[in-house]
Amino acid sequence: MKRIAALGLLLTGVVALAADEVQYIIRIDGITCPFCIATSERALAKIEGVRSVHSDLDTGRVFVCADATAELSREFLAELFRSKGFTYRSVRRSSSCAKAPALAGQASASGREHNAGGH
Amino acid sequence: MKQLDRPGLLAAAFALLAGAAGAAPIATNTALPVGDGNAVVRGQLVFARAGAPGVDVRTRLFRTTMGYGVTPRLAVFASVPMLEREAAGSTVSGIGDSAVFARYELYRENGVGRTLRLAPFAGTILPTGREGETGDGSTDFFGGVVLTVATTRWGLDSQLRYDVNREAHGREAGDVLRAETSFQYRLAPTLTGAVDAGFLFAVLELSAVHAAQSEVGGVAVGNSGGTRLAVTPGLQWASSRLMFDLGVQLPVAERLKGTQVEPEYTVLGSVRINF
Repeated sequence: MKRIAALGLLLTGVVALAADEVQYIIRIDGITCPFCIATSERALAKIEGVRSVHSDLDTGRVFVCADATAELSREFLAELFRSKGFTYRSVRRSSSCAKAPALAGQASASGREHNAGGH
Repeated sequence: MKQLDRPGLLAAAFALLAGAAGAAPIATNTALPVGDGNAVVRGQLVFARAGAPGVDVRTRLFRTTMGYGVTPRLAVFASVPMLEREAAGSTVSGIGDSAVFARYELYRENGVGRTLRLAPFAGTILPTGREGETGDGSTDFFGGVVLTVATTRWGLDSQLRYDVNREAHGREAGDVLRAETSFQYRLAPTLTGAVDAGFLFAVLELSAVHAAQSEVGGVAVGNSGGTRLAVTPGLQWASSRLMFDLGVQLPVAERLKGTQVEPEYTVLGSVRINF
């Protein structure tokens, strides 16, 4: 009985942890190599609540895993990438952090998208 | 042509303009931006050997270049060389002529994993070196335009640059026109995906430089001026924070006036760090 209770508690904790994180999948035009995107990744990583940042150059996507409380508005993202010389296109927010970039497709299925229409 | 170009530093003379982002040229310029509020530092080592009948000139140079993104499109740079040159049994060393310049990204077209940028640039070369030894004593100006097309697989940078060299104490180096192209092709990894490991590029650069005749006391110097073609094969590794490159510039063809010191080879290696 104690084991079942402990397992239940553990599962509750895992679910709570998963619910506390979100993944932003940001589509950016103009990134072509690791050196290009580095300054943008570092700017994103400095935001309070951001846990990790990864990029997939081939698809032009940046994956940001963050606390649910972290706020990355499309206006903020558009300005950040514009200042680094890139073109922000859209952002999707999913309820959990898939391991980027391989699971990005799964994340997009449950996410919602803001289309900024480019800059 | 400026004095320091004669021992074979044509590549180094403009490598300082290489900028911040993307696979970048080794000995020429790029239109890719630095990024608003970001900085790039490049340290470059150059070993050059040049010669003429009875003359052997060896030059070792370390150039530090700093770039800063003032706005998303405007970047400013400063470049200071330290050099040592051996020729005819004597050695001179010290700080060379320094450059300050700006580059403005006039046109930008971005797509998924690709970009096209066009950027004019202009600057001045200050006589911080010792006249007649590590510098030519004059304040000179240059300007031009650079076009960059890049994808995740390859990059192409092409530029035109014109140097207006001015007179100092009766000596005036001829003006210089440069046309240069750099092609970078990613060798590894073959698939990009996550970019943590960095990219390895093969680099091939072509350079055409035409110099007008120099003048002393208003009289053209016979053994000066002409056109040189050079090729620079090399390798470059770019990660998110660092970029290393190594290349060797070799003369391909020359049409020089009179008898001049001709470059034999120039080895260029550098590291860039972004902040």
